[in-house]
Amino acid sequence: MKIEDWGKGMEMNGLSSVFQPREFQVQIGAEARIELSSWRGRPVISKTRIAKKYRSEDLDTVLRTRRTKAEVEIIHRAKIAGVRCPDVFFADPRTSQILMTYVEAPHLKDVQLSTNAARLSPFYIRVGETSGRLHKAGIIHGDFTTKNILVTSLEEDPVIIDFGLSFFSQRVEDRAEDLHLLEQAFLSTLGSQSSAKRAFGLVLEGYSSVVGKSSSESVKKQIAAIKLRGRYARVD
Amino acid sequence: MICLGIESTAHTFGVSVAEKELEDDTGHTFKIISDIRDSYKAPEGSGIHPREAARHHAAVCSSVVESALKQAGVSIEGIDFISYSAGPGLGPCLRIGGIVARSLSAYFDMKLAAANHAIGHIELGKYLTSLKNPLVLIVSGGHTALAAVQGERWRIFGETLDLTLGQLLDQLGRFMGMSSPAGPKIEKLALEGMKNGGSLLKDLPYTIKGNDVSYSGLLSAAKKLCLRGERKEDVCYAVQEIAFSTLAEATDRALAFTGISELLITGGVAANKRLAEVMQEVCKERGIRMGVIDRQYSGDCGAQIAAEGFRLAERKQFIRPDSAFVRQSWRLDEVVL
Repeated sequence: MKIEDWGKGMEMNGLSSVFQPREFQVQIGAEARIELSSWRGRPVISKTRIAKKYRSEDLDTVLRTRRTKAEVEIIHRAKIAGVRCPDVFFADPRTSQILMTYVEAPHLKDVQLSTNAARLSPFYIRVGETSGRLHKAGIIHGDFTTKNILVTSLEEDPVIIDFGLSFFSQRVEDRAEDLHLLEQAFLSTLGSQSSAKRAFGLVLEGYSSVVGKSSSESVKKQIAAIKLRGRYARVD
Repeated sequence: MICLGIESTAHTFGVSVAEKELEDDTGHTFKIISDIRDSYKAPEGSGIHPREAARHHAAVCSSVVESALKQAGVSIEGIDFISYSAGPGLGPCLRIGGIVARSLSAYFDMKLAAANHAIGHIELGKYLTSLKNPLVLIVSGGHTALAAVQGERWRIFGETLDLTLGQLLDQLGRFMGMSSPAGPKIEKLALEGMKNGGSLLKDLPYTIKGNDVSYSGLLSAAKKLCLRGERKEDVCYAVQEIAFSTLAEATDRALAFTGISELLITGGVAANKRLAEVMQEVCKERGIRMGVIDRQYSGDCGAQIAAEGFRLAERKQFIRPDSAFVRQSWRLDEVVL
């Protein structure tokens, strides 16, 4: 079945007339091409994993199929865990394409640059709660940076996007890596050590309220251990 | 200016006489006049024993220095300054190079520069490929990282979380009964495994976390394949494909992220032709220039230490013999450029 035919007869009343192509730059990332497209009259994001000539065709096909399937499965599980993320309308592992909701909202990164820190505090706690929910459901986002956290409103939970590198794991190590990445993103956006530390502290507060004190403490400990890693890092 | 570069971080004791005009940004005046090496050979099936390697270095150091000078046709008085590899590397080995550098510097009253070995690989690669501001893929026994200059430091855009690419190949080779360095032998076997090895790809883990790679799981799985009775050729092929593909993916992302338009491949594993082929595909898709360090200078050598020495000399970053240090752990992103 072709994508265009899929969902025929499931026309949502009136929605097709709502769709007006907005300004959207096609994004060609390292892994996928992201375009604004339409599906049964509604605006959607089309994510297509690009074939890579640098790896053998067999391996490339296996990886793209595996990752497309995993991404859809994980989005589904994240929703069950109560995390806001895009709705998947259609997925085809053979062409490694996924059609999902176009969420028109700024990145947390942009919001951080334009909003004063005090107003953001409650939102940081929400971010922490959200990542806690993901981890509790056994999901590691894998690319939990401020570009993959969308802000629809400071009074609402964040919308999490791009589960392209996500995987299932219960390991403390993986959870810590996930959060450590967010801390690094804070550091590069906010510039100063102290404001990044404060913001990340709030995230951990929200995180702890969902996963519980003992889990969050072991993750915190592991984050500290990760910081000392990397080849030839010195402990002093 | 003429520099005597002394390398002794691991299995190789190398000395090179090199020349360059200071304040020459193009690097056109950079010339390697001589480059002599003597390497410690580990017994088959085992790796470098640091103490044994240091013994080897101590035994050969004076003759290597002598032949480097002789081949260059330069007397010790004709040398303007000494550059030595101060780290990172194996402690006992580093100390031999340190002692040689300190003694020469003190006795002949010569200026002394402490070079970071990894930056040496990079600086030499830049001179030899004429790339100005590349994203660097440094692949060797000590390093597997993607780096680019940002501000006044090298910043890492992805690296290995456990084994380096060189260690992966060496340890797999050792398991198969080869002696280190096993890279070239594995590369040869992999060519023969190209036909059948593809079927093993699905049995090996493809690990990339964020933009970092991990090879320890790949090594364990590859050993299991050997024990299962798979042909060595096929295992070598599959391991190379997986390892290089993960690295290519990380490189691809780093290029996308930084927007840099040149890629330099340097370090011992840069001599692997299949790796260059894979990276060439990455660069072709992005329309980017790629440079691979000449095979002759990809491995550890005095020339790389001289190359980094010139960078230090231009910044007048000399040290006194009595404060000459060696550091087993010294990340390249710690060095303030």
